[in-house]
Amino acid sequence: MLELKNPHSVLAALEIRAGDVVEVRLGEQSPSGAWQQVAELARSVGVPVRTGRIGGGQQKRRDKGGEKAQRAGRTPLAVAAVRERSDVGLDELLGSAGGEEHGIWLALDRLQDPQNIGAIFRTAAFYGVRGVLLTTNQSAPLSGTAYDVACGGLEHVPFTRAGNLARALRGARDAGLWVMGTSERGEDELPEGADRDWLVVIGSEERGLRRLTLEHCDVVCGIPPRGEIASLNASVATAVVLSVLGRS
Amino acid sequence: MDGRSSGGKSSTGAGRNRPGQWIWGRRVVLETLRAGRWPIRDLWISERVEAEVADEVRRLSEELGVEVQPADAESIRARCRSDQHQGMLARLGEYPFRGLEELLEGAGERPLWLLLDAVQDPHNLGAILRCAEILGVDGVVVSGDHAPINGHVARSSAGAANHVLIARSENLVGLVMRLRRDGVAVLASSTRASEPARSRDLLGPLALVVGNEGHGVARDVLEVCDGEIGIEQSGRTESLNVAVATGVLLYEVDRQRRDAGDGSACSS
Repeated sequence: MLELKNPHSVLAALEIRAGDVVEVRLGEQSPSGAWQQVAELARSVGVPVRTGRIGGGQQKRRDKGGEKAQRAGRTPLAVAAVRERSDVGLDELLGSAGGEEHGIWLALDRLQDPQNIGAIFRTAAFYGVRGVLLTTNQSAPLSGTAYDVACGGLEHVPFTRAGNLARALRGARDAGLWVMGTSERGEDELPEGADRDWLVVIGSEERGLRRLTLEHCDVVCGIPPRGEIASLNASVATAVVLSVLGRS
Repeated sequence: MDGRSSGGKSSTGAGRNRPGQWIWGRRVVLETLRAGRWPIRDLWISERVEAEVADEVRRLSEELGVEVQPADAESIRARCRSDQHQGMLARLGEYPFRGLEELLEGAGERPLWLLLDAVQDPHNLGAILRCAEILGVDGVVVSGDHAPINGHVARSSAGAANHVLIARSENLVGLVMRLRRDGVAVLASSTRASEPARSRDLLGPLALVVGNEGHGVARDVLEVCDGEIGIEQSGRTESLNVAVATGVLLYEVDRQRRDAGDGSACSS
C-alpha cells in the first residue's frame, strides 16, 4: 500500500483508478486548496475521507518524499492510502508500435533513486511517452515517493518491469522500435523529430548503461557537456532527449 | 534556515547538527576540495577509502588548510544519517557568493545568465545548478525567498555548486532592467508562454528567468522582461518540474549556439 502525500498525485489516482484509493486522511488543520479538491472528488466517488491527526512515524524521516512536507511543517497536511498500480505486459506496453503516428518509449536501466524515477514519469507524461520499461534488479521500487514526485505521471504512463533488460530490448526491436542509448560518452547527435518509433534507454545515476545494454542500441546519443561536471541528472537528460525527439 | 546566527565559528553545540551544512559521498566532497572555493570546516574520512582517493583528499586538504580527521564508517553514518557517504563527510561553511558586479563584468561577448526568482526547493536548486554548469551558463543570480545554497544543494547539484558562479540580488526587477539596457535579452520561462523556445533566436546575449515552483516568475518581474518562452507539450500532465524545464530551455540555447558554430568551451 502506498502512502501518498502530494495532493496532485492523489488527484490523478482518483481520476484514473478511484477504486484503488482506499482512504484519504486530512490533518487537523484545514486542508489546502489541492487537498480540498482531493476530498471533494474522493467523497463524490465514494472513497472514505477521515479527519484527524496524521501520524509522524520515524519511518517517514528517511523517506525523501517526506522532506518537502517536513520543511513545510514537519508532518504532511494530509495523506492518502492508495494501492500500487499494476504493470502491463511488455506486449501490451509496445502494442501501439508500428502505427501511423510514431511514439516514444523509455527504458530505465537500474535507476536507484525514487526521486529520479518519479521525475522521469512526470516528464514522460508531459511528453506523451507511450510506456516505460523498468528493470527489476538493482532498481528503486515504485514507492510513494516516486508517485508523489511524478505528480500524476505514474497514473498516465503505463509501465512494465523486466527481469532481463537485454531480452526486453530485443523484444522491442522485434516489435519495430529503434533503440537509443544515452551516455555522456555517446557520439551520435540527438535526432530531431519523430520519424520512427523510439525506445530511449536511460542508464543508472552512477554507472550509466551496461555493455550488454549498449550492444542492443541502434544509436548511442550524448549531450555534450560544457562544464566540469560530466552529465546531467537522469530526469533532466530524459527531458532533453524527449524535447528533441518529440519535435514535430 | 541556513542558520547564520552561530557565526560559523563553533563546531559544537546546536549548530553542529544543521543538516544543511553537511556533504557526503566521494564525488561531492572531492569536487568541493578540488574547486577550493567553498570553505570546509570539518572533514572526516574513513580508513576504508582506497589509498589513491585518500591521498588526493589529504593533498588537497593540506593546500586548503583543512584538517582531515579519521573516522570509522559507522560514526560517519551516524553524523550524516545516510548510507551513501562512501567514507567521506564534510561540514561546509558559508557559501562564497560572487559579487553581482563582479559576476556581470566577468562574462564574454554573448553571456548566458540564469536568474532564479525564489526557487525554494533545495533539490530543484541543486539540479538547476547542475544544468547551468553543464549547459554553459556564465553565472546564476538567486533572488527573493530562495533555498539557501548549502550542503543539501551541493549534493543535489552533484558538486556543480562548486563551479558555477552564483551571486545574489535583492532587486530582480532592477537587475532585469539593467541587463536589458546593456543589450541582454531577458526571457522568462513560463508554462503559459505561447512561444516555444526553439522558434526564438537565442544566440545573442541572454538572461533566462526561472520562477518559483508554485507561482512561477513574479508578476512585477514578468512585466519588465522582453517576453516569455515555454516548452511544447505533447502529453497530458500540465507542467514540468522547474529544474527539468530549465534544463530543456538551457539545452535549446546551447543547441542553437553549437549549431551556429560557437565552440567556445566545447573543445575541452
